This record gives sequence, C-alpha cells and structure tokens, in this order.
Amino acid sequence: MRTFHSPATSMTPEVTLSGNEARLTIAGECYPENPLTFFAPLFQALKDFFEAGGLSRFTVNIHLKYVNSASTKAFRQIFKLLDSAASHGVAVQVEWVFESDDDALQELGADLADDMCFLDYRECPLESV
Amino acid sequence: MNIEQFELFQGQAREAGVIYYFSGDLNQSILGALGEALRHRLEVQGVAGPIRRKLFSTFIEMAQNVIFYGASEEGAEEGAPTQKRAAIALGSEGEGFWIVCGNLVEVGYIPRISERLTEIRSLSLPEIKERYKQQVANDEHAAQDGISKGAGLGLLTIARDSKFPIEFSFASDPSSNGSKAFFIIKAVV
Repeated sequence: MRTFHSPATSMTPEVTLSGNEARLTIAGECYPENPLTFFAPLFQALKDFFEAGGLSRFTVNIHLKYVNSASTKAFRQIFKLLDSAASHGVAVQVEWVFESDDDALQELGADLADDMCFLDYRECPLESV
Repeated sequence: MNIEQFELFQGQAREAGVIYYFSGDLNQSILGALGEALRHRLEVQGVAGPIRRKLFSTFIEMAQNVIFYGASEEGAEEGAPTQKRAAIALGSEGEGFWIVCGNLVEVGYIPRISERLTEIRSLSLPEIKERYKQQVANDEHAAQDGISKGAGLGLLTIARDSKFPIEFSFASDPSSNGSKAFFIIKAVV
C-alpha cells in the first residue's frame, strides 16, 4: 500500500511512502523552486504515519542525483522528523545513496546526520560507471 | 545585427572558449530544460563526472539566485509567473571551466550582495565547509533573514565548488534611471 506517492519530474524526485513496508524512498533530481512547498505533503504524511503509532522499524532510502542548496532545509526537516520518531522507539535507518565520487552529496548527508541522535545513518556509496 | 556581425559574435564567443550560452527570460521550467541541455553538452564534451556535477550545481545556484532575487523588468505584469532576464555563459580555459552569470538587481540589494560575497571571498575551503555545515543546521535562518528565499547556502555552494574566490561586479543600468544595476558573478571550476 502506498501511503503517499509523488512521481518524479525533471526537477523533483520520486517520493514514495509505503505504510505496509514501513519504507520511504526519495530518488532523482531535486531542485524545485520552492522546496518547502514541494515537500509539505510528505511532511504531513510522515507526521500522520508516525502519529498513528504501532511502528517498530522504518527504513528510508534517499538517492538523489542532484540537490540544490535551497532543498537542504527540507531534508533537514525530514531528518528531524525521522530522528524524533527514532527517539520514540522506532528503529529508523536512513540509507544515503550517492555516487562514490560525489563529495558534495556525501558531505551534505554527513552534515544532516551530524545533529541527529537516534536514527541509524548509513552512507551507501555507489561505484561510478 | 547582420549575418557578418553574427559571425563575428560567434567567433568571439569561440575564442573566449564558450561552450554554452543562454540569454533571455529565466523561470523555473526554462531552468529545467536549460539544465538538461547543459548536462548533455558537458557529457558530449567528455567532461569528468565530478567537474560536471560542480558545473551543473554552480549553474543551477546562479540561475535560481536570478529567479529568486533578480529585479523584474519594468512593465512586468503583477502576479505573472516569475520571469527574470539573465545571461549565463560557460566555457573552458586551460584545464578549467568558467561560468559567468549577469542579471539586473535592485540597487538597494548591492550592499547586501557585496558584503556577503566579500566575506565569502575571504574564506578558505575548510572555512567555507564549516560555514556550510553550520548553516545547514541553522533552523532560524528564515526568521533571521527576511530576504532569503532559500537556505542561505547558495553562494557558499558556489564558493565551495570554485577553484578561485568568486569574482563579481556591478555596472550601472542606464535604462532604469538608477534604480537597478547589472550584477555579474563568476566562478571557476
């Protein structure tokens, strides 16, 4: 069951929140003009999902091709929401996927994870082709 | 412009190493198409992945700065979709690539832009990265800065990817009776 889904566009990622699988995936390009507006429906869906409770684990897979600087704010909010759920007993794992030679994306993930206390952050470098 | 002038114009662009040039109205959907065209061009040119990413990022950050903060033209319709005139060029020089963006800004923004860029120019790469990290974690940015429409990271992102300190200049814009200036920003990747 898809709890929330937003298809990819040339400037925004595909976002899928699956309640059954307890999984969130965000994949693709990310340079919307107004990132907070773009991500607002996901914030709400995630909040509702965590508030419903009964969750023991939750997996997040984020694989961006490119992310603009304005969108970092939105990812900060997503990380904080996830960390808050983790602080309430959900085992949250965040897989941050990037091309192994993409230092900027690697460092952004590390900067975002640095402030978080409860979620399990995993770097997932891909070998470049 | 007659055909000979156009040939001259193209010849000068070629001499300057221009690979990609856009001049016209910018908005978000045009930016998407321009970005794809730029990526394609850089791939065809055989530019290495990490350099390609930095150029693409610098291009998007410069262009979104124009869309966010550029001055609207006189006579622009109230409530019409954001449409800002700009010129962006990218080219190669030796081993590196330069990227230059020019657009109109309100003269009232000049001190703010100058101060921010002058300060960023004085930072070393580790300092830029440290500043970036602090700003990512700054949840008060929107409350502290009423003008910024992003995360306060655009210029830091450009500076992080530029081999040399960002260059910039302002020139007067005679058509606006002194209310606007032509702002140019340059980075080298």
